Amino acid sequence: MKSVWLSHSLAVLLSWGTALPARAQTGSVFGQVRVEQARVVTTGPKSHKKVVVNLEPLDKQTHPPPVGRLEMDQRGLVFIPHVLSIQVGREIAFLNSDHDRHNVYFLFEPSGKTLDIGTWGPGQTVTHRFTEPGQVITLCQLHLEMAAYILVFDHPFHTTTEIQEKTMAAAYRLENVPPGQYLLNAWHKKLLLKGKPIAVSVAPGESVSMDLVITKREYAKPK
Amino acid sequence: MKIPFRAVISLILLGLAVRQDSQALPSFSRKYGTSCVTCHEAFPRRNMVGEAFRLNGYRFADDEAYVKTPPVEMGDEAYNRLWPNALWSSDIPASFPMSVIMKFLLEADLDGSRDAEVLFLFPEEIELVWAGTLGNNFSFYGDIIFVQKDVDYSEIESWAQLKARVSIHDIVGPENLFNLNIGSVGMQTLGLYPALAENNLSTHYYQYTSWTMPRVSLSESGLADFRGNPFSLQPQVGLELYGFGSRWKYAAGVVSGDVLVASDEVPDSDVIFMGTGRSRGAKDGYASLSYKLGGLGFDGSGSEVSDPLKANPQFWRDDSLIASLLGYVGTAEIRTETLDGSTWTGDDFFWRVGAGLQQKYRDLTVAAGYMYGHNDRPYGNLSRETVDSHACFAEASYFVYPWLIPYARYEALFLDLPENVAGLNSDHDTQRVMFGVKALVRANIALTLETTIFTEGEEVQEGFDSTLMLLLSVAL
Repeated sequence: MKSVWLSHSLAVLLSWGTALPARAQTGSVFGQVRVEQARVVTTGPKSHKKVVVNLEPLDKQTHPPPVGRLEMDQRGLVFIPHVLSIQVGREIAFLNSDHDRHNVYFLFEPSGKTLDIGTWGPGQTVTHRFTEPGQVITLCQLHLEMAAYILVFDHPFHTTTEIQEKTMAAAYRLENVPPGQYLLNAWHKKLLLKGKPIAVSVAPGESVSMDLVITKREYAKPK
Repeated sequence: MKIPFRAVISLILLGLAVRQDSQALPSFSRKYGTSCVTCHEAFPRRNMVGEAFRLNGYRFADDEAYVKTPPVEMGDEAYNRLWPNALWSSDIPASFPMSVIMKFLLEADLDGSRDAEVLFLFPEEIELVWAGTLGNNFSFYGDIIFVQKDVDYSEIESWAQLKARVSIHDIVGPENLFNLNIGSVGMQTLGLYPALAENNLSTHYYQYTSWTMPRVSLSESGLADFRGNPFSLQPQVGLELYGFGSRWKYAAGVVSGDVLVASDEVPDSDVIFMGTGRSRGAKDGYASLSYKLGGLGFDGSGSEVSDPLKANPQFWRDDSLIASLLGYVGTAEIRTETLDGSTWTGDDFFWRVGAGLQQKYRDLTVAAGYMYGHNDRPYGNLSRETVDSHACFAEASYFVYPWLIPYARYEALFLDLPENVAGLNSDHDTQRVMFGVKALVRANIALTLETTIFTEGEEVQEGFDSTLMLLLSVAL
């Protein structure tokens, strides 16, 4: 038991030693996504509270492929989670935790292509790897009210956050961002980013504060 | 005992017509978790938020943000992108959107003209109303009204009447421009906007909407039967196109016309579909137009008041002027039958045109209107004379408190009736003044006290003059 504790402590110290220089070389971007001229529903399994913030690199960068699987459950006739952001190459395991059969059917946007990965029974899981960036609307053709959104990016700088009922705003933070030029954008199921994506310059060791506004389509276009 | 309706001739109260539409719907309070006064200044009279809600197909702007009981989805909106390879999305109300309205009426005779000094119509009406949305482009309305009325102040009659309507919104073109009602139409449009039956504060309907051409007395005319023109401005069965913008709204409809049961008749059936017309090729048509200056837009868009501190802070206020026009054209089959069995049938072509104004300023609402009518041959072979009609009204109401609204109304009806028709009193002109006060005991419970004094034609509506009406309305 003692040896396990010692080895664990050593590993933590070693990770500090290697992580410190890496952190100094990266920056972070944080801020709020505010809802303007609209209110969003923040309750219920298909609420509109989720916002995906992403930082698209303008410089050519290579990113290591994501490791591990994420899960999307089908439980109580609802996809859980309702919104998920992933990097290209990520595998998602689609579980069926109901006592009923479920289907998973993808609508890829903007291409409009569709893919039916099958129908399976209670307790079973089917895995799918996402290889193209874009929005993937995930449906169950057996239960038409079921829908989820998977946002696939070709980089790892994205996060999913939640709009708070009281403030109609969602806080976000993107860590370990390499120095460079980026475009900051936000995705929401119903609302659009007000104006154009914001150019952000990230310097080593710096934190950039930047707020975004999402609103209805009629107010979203830049004037 | 039910009286065959043809035997009841000009005896039922003019103006005490069967109520046409319930517009206080607590099912919406349940859906949105909001008070009646969000949409009504004194139910059933809607305020402008309620009017915009109704016109938008029972939706608020930014509707889903207000819904406390979300509807049950019949498919996610994402399926719309897969159409025609998938069903278009829709939804239904989470719970059955039923409202119940109960009305209890006490009538007290003040001048001794009735047999019974006090009459209890407890209840006078029980209304079961369902209304709601089906996805983004469909809405529905329906009601069953169980009615108990005093006929000729001596007979109590009861029956049930039904209405049902489906509406399709934004069928083509710009938003809100073309919407279609199918079924019972004209509830909100067969009348002048300043004096719609559905926005009535009074216990009685407006005379200009509810009067019908006086009938011929069978006993005095020597006829075995007479069917006159049953027209009044009441909901009918048909199709109606309507649209609205911020400052205007229009409606145009095609309806069956020549209704089987006039609004002031007791039906000879226990259950009727309101406004059902005779089966015939000809159809009636109508159109209405309203224009608004100031206040909240018909579509719910913001007031033109630039300083929000000067905007109206009360749910009933909407400083504005609304002008309204209405035209109706139709035909009705006139039929006479003599005692020897010979019959005569022919059409009475008729039309109505009217205009009205409503001014709201702070706590005061005043309205006035006039409707002119022309009937080519309403008495068939009994008289070849045409009949012109002139109906007008003026009324005022005032919010003393948010719950106390006294009102007064003057109404007049002048008919140029032929003088040579046996069994027809050629003088049916009436002028009357109504005084009342409506008290919102609670947001969904109202008490209305009202009396009417005739200055002309008291005998035409004998028993109505100087009668005190006390109406208790409860909506849940």
